[in-house]
Amino acid sequence: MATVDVRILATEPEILCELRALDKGTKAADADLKFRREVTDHQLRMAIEERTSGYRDLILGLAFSKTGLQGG
Amino acid sequence: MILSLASPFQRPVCRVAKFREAEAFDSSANAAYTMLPWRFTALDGNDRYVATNLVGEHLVLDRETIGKFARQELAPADPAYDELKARHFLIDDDTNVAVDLLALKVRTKLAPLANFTALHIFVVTLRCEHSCPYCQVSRANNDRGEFDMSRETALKSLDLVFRSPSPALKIEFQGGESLLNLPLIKLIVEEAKRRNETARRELAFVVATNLAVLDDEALAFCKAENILVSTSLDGPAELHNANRPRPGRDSHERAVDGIHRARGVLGHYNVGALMTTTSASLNQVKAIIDEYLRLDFGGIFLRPLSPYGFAIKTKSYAAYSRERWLEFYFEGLDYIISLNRQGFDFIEHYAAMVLKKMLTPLQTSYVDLMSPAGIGIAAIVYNYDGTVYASDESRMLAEMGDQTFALGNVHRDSFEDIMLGDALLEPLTQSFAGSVPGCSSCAFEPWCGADPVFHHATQGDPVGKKPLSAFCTRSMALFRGLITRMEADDDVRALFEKWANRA
Repeated sequence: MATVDVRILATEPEILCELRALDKGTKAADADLKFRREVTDHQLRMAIEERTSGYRDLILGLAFSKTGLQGG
Repeated sequence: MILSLASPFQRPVCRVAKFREAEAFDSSANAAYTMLPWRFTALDGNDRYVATNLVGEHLVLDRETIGKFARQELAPADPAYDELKARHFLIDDDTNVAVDLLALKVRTKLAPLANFTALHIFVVTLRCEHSCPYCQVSRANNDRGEFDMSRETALKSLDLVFRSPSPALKIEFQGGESLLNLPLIKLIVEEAKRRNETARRELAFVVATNLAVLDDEALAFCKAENILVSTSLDGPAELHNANRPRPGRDSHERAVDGIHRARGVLGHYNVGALMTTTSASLNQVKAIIDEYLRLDFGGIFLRPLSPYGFAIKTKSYAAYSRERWLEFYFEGLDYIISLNRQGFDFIEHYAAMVLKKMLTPLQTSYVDLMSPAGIGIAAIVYNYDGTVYASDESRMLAEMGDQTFALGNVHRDSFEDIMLGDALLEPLTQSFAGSVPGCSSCAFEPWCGADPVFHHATQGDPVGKKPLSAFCTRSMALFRGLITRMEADDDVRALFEKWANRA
């Protein structure tokens, strides 16, 4: 469940991310750390997806090539 | 070690060379591996992550290992390397068989889709003699016959049932209280069996009933036709009767009596029960489980209220938060685990269905955990008035005035109109978790469902914003809770593997 709302202000050359806690229990330092981790994790996810997309297509292609559903 | 003999009269001079690192002797040490598709999601606050491959086989890894593997820096000597290789996260010079194996597993997981709709729900009446405040299917007073399904509607519905290519067809009778329209149930069973003499499907029937009006005639009929019985049992008498008021305030007494009588006639394992969690249940999970044990059920399905029907009208759905339900759920799950340690063979069905997706290459038939969603293509509902709904929840939504998932009418529309119409295909394609923002990058996606009806009901569109989704919160907490328990205790892992293979 979302605990932080993020407002992104893209003003060249900076991108400013403003974090707002959605509940009183969220500490600013924790939210900052969690957000930074989430960003780096997501960058890694994008890199993995880019590097593995060819194999993903190949595996799905192989899987669907033997279903017997082709040819109308 | 190198020996150098300078002359026959000199003592040999020993010069010692250091051994090289072990990796130098491993022929695959410097061979680059190739990552296959995988995803990762944080497990807890201790830097542990869950990584899943394309078909949902998983590993728990620390953050450093996740980073090394993703950057192609993981050494073959690393203990995680062989585990990742065994679970088809990578291929290297030694073997690339993982590509074919993954394709085979993808095909196995998706194969049930080709069978199409197996569960056909007939709402034979909306009448009911109970007046449960949380009822997810709005009811009518039990003397109003206009809420009964007609013979013509039943026969038209059967036309559609037998258009499904599924080799197995299950017809489930629901209400209201389905047994208040026993004559129609008899007609449908007789006619379905007649048609099946040529259709040759694996045909099964289930009557969903509160058992309060169960009589010998109904029992004899169920026995003669091999019909299963599914009932509601919310817990001990006080809780059950508070949740399920009826004239005489004897719902629990009638349910328990009906369970015993039905078992006596139909056989012990042909009678099942489902419970619904209300705010009154939250502090009584152990008592609820004990009641199921007392009545000799082999398990329980700890399920939350759905945001439909009278549950919304009477504010029952909002009576507890998703976090409170999760506390209730895990307290119950841990209690069931402790019971199994004591020798009771007792299963929690929700966990078992999730574990089946996590630990086997097979899928569950539970509609909420299917992607593509199970609406229409796994289960379909024929309402008493002939309207066809994409799921039981779609019918509940319609009773609140929202006809979004009404697919057509048995008197007006053909099988093709209903199954190929935008009302079904659009939510199916839009909500497919593999391509939905927030789901497509989630490690839990192979285990999760799409549930477009829930997201439409709660957020107004079939996809929904996942960070705000109660379905997403509940599912992720469930996945994390199950993995954490397996990682912490090998006995729990063995128990969960047993459940996964029984679900």
